Amino acid sequence: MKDWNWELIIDHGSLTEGPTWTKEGLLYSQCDESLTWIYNSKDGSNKVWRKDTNGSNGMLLDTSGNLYACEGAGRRLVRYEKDVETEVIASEFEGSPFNEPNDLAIYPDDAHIWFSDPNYGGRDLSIEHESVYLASKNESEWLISRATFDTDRPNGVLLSKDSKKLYVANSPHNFDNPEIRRELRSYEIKPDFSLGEYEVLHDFGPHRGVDGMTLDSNGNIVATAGFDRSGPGPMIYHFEEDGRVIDSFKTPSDYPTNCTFGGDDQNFLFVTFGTGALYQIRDTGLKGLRK
Amino acid sequence: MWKFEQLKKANGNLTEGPVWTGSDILLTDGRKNRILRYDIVSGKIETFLDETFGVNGLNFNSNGELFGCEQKGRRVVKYENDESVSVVADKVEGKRLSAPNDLAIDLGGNIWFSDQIPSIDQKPQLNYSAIIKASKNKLGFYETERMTFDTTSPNGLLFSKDYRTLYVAQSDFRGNEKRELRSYPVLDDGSLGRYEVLHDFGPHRGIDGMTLDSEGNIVATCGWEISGPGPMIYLFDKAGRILLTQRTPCLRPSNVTFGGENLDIMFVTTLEGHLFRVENSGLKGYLLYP
Repeated sequence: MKDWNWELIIDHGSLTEGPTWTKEGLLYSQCDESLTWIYNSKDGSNKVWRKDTNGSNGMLLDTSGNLYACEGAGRRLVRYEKDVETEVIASEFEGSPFNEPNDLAIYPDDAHIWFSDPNYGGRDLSIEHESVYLASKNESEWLISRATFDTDRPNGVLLSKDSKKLYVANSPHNFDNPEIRRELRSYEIKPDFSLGEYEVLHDFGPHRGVDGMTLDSNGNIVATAGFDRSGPGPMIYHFEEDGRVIDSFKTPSDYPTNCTFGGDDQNFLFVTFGTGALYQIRDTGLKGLRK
Repeated sequence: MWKFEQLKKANGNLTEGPVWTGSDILLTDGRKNRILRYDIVSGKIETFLDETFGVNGLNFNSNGELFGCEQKGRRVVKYENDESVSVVADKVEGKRLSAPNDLAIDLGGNIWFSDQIPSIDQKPQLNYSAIIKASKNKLGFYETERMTFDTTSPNGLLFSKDYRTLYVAQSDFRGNEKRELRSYPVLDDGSLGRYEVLHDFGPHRGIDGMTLDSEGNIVATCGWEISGPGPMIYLFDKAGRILLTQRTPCLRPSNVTFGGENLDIMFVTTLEGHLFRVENSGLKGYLLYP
């Protein structure tokens, strides 16, 4: 098995997340500082792209190029446009603000957005359960419905290549409790966009589960998981759709949080870390699925 | 992709316990109470030993003496060269064993085996399923000792290269119990310490049998057709990292070992009764004997 060549782009010293490839470069979040950065892979520069992002975490482009973000501390799902005021997509469910929106997946019609609402930050729960929600666009209005009823603490969410399944990382912490499970799940998406039964694709047992995920061009899942504290360690996993582990790659920094493909040919992998590092790998041999 | 060459067809009778003798592969056909011998040169499979009372796991000690777990016989035995049998263990803590499944032998010649309460057909005397150790006392008789207190259905077991770790497959089919690959430290007094979970199979079929490769990684047979990624051979490193996975052309692989002059041919048994050979795995085995 070939090891990857990891190139450190920058180390911010506090958690990076939400890597998103755009025409202008790689956008990513520095959550605790409420900053969105842009890395230009052509000239190697890093610049602040947006400030005061309320703990923005996961970000994603829709097929029309709209950028959506989960503002964890802000308890809301929003849309960003450069130098334009933030548009709020979802900020409450049944009258309560969300807990801490974390990550999102967008259906190819650009009118359905699933987002996870865990509570990692330690604030009192605003909503008594930690679930995945669906924001559905109706004319110009976004309607919010609850999508999962069996998650403990959902984190990364990702749509399958055929858009028929939603992959959900159920990744509670509570690492001192051996009975708590951390699973990568695959939920069936029904014709009305509600979610059906899930299958467990991979069980991380007592170790840290999946944080962020992205698809490769074959529809396989590239996922960040693990930590130094226990188990096989911090790792990028490469899963087939049925959960078979094709490969695993140790990461050079602890606590990998998310990853995405970028570059003109979608063949660079960018990985963010809890340590604040941002790495790129140009020799994975994989390509991203451009939508 | 590995090429699985079928040496024995499925007939519905589980094959298990593959071991390399130095010139042949022995495997078990427990339902017929037989040990079979696959002649690597002629390709013939013939009966090596009869009347083995449901023999399942087999293993050699470092002297080349052959031991087996007899599930129906509820005992662990040594198969002598004159075709007689010596009982190594049939009781622990004064009660009859339930159904010994698989065994691993340390450098001191102690026989470590998994004992499972079967789900059917038996009134067990023991109220636990555990790893048991059979060690010779000063008079040369084997004495048994319970080694795990946290297993509900131990299956394959395997020592690390340095014998400081015992890998145990906790593989309970009951949904509310666990299917995990665990590593137990072997403490200086010969007891086992607290285990770490190297891998969790969640709701899917866990590990049946295991063997070491030359790097000290764990080659394991697991998975099934019913759920999850399917029937598979996994290669784990010592920390539980999955180095590779390979789908198998059977529904439920049961066990695996390496053979051939260079220990670079993999042999795989199955619940359906196959014997497969893989020559292009790129892996080599690490065996206590030969």
